[in-house]
Amino acid sequence: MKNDLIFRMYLTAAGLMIFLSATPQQNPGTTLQENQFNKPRYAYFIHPTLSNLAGKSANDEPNSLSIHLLSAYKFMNGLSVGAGSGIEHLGKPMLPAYGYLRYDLRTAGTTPYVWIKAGYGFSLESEDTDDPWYISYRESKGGMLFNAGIGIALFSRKNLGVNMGVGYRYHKVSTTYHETSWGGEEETIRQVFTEFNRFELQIGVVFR
Amino acid sequence: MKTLTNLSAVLLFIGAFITACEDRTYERVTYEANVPVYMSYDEFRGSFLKSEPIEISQPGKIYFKDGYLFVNEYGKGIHLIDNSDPSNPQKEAFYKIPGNIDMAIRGNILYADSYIDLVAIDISDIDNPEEIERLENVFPEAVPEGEKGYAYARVDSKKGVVVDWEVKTITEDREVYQQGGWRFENMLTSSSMVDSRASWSAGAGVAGSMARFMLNEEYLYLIAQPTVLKTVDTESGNEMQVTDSIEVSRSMETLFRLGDKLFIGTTTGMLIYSLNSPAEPGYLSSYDHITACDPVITDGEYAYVTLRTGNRCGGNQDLLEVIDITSISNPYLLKSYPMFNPHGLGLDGNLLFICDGEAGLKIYDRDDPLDIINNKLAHYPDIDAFDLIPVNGILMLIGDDGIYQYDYSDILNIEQISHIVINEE
Repeated sequence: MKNDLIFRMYLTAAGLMIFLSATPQQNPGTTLQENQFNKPRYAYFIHPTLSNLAGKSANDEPNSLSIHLLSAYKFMNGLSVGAGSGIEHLGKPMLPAYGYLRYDLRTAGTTPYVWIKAGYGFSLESEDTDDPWYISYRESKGGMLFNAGIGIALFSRKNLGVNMGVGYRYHKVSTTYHETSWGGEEETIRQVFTEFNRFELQIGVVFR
Repeated sequence: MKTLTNLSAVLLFIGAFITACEDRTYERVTYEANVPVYMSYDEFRGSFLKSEPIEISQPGKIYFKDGYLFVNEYGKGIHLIDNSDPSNPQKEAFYKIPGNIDMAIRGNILYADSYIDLVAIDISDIDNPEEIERLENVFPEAVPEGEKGYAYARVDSKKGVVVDWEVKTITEDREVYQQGGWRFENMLTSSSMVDSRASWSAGAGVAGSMARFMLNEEYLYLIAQPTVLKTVDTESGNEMQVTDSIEVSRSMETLFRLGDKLFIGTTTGMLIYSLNSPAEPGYLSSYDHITACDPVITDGEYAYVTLRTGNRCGGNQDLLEVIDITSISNPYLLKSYPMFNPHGLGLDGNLLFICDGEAGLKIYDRDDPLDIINNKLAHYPDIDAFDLIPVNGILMLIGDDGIYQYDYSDILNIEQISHIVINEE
C-alpha cells in the first residue's frame, strides 16, 4: 500500500517534470542555444526533491520516501553551496538538516552534476513506548547522514528546471531503551542502532 | 548499439548498487552482569595437586570405594576420607581439581571433571596421586555459577577457562535480538553424585542416585551437556577417547546403571539405553513424567524415581514414582506416592531410603510396590540430606550440615556413628 502511494507520487512528479521540460519559452527568432537561460549564470536557487531510498531493509521498509527542500547559491564556476532540510521516514520519521555542495559540469543549460550532502537527521518519533510494563522509557535519537550522487539538470525556462539523479545515502539512527527489572534495582540500557545504506533515486525541480 | 550497451551498463550498475545497499542493525547493551574471570589453559591444565586435608565447606557429591569416602568440594576438588572405621572417619588428603563436581573410580584410577576437561588420576599411592591423562573439552560448556539475578556476559573461550565471575557493568555490541551470555550452570550446580596406602579393588565404586558419571567396565558414561551423553573409553587409563556422543531432546540429570542397561533421569522422564554394545549405547525406551528433577535407581524389575519441586527443573509436584520395567521396551507407571521434597534415594535389599528434604530421611519396605507408602519402617525427621549411599549396613548421607554415617543394621533404630562437620567459609 505504501509502495503504491510512492509509485503514484513518482508518476505525478514525473508527469509534472515532463510537462515543465517540454514547454520551453523561447524568444522569437532565437535558437535554443542562444536563449538567455542557457547562458552561464550565478544565482540563488531553491531545489525541492522527491527521492526513493531503496535497499535491503532492516525493518521491512525496502523503499522509503524522502522529501527535501534546499536552497543554495551557484557561483560562476559551477559550484553551488547551500543547506537544506526535509521530511522522510527511515525506520522512524526523521527531520534531516544538512549542508549541500554541488558541482555542475557545464556552467549553462542542460548539465550533469555531482552533489554531496552531509548533516544530521533528527528523530521525530515519540518518546512513548508501546510496552510500558517492561521498558521504563525510550529515547529516540537521530544520527549522522551522508549523501552523494550524480544527476542531470534540464533547464527549459529561464527560472525553472528539472533534475533527475541517483546516489548513495547513509543514515545512522538509534533508539535507546531503558529497561528496569521488576524490582526496579537494575537498569539495562539497550541502544539499537540502524545504519541505513540506501540507493537513492531522485527527481526534483529547480527554481532560480 | 552503443546507446544500448551504455544503457545496459548503467542498469547493471544500478542493480548492483541496490543489491549492495543493505541496512545494518545492531545493539549496544549496557548492563550489570556476571563477567567471566579467565584462567589460562596452561595454568588450568597444570593445576592439579594434592594437599593436606582442608575443611569441608561446600560438599557436593560423594563416592565410596574400598573403605574410602570421596567427597567433592564444590568446584574445588575432592576430599579423601579414610572410612575403614565408619565410626571414626579420618580426612587423609585433598585433591585440588578446579571445577570439579563429579567423580568415578575404576581400579586405582580416579576420573574427575575439571571444568571443560576430564582428568584421569592414578591414586595407587594416595599421598602421591598422579594425573596420567586429560581428555580436553569433553564438557565444552562447563562454567561456574555466577551471582544469582544477574545476566551472564559472553564468554571468549580463546582467553582461557572461565573459573569465576565478577559482577560488573559492561557494554556489549551484539546483533539485534541476540541473547547475552550462555552458560551450562547445571554442570556445577547439579546436586550430588555418590559412588595409597589404599588397596584398590578392580571394579568401580558406589555412586549415589544423582550420579552424572557412570562406569561400565572400561567405559565411562557421562552427561557432558544437559542434552549430550558421551561414552569415554578408559581402557588403558591413559588413552581416553570419546567413542560415542548421543544427543537427546531432554535435559539429562542423572545416570544409573544396572547390568547392561543405563537409566537416565531427565527433567521430563526416564530414558533407558542398552549397553549390549557398551561403546555405543542404544536407545531402548522412555518413560515420561511431569517436569521435575528426578534421580532414578532400579533393581531391574522396578525403577524408583523421585520428582521434586522448588528448583531450576520446574514442576509442581513432589512424588515418588514406581515404574514397572519388566518389559524394558514398555516401561509404565505402577504407582506414584506423594512426598514432601524428595531428593536422593537408595536401595539395599528390600529397603528403600529416600532423602525427603526437610521432612527428613524415610525408610520403606518395598516388598509390595503398590503399597510402599503404608510400609514405612522408619522416619527420621531430623536427618536433612540430599543424597545417600547405603552400603553393608552403613548409610552415608550428605546434607548441608555435614556428612553423616548411620548404622542401620537395626532398621527400627538406626544409630548415628559419625558426623563430619562442615565449616562454611
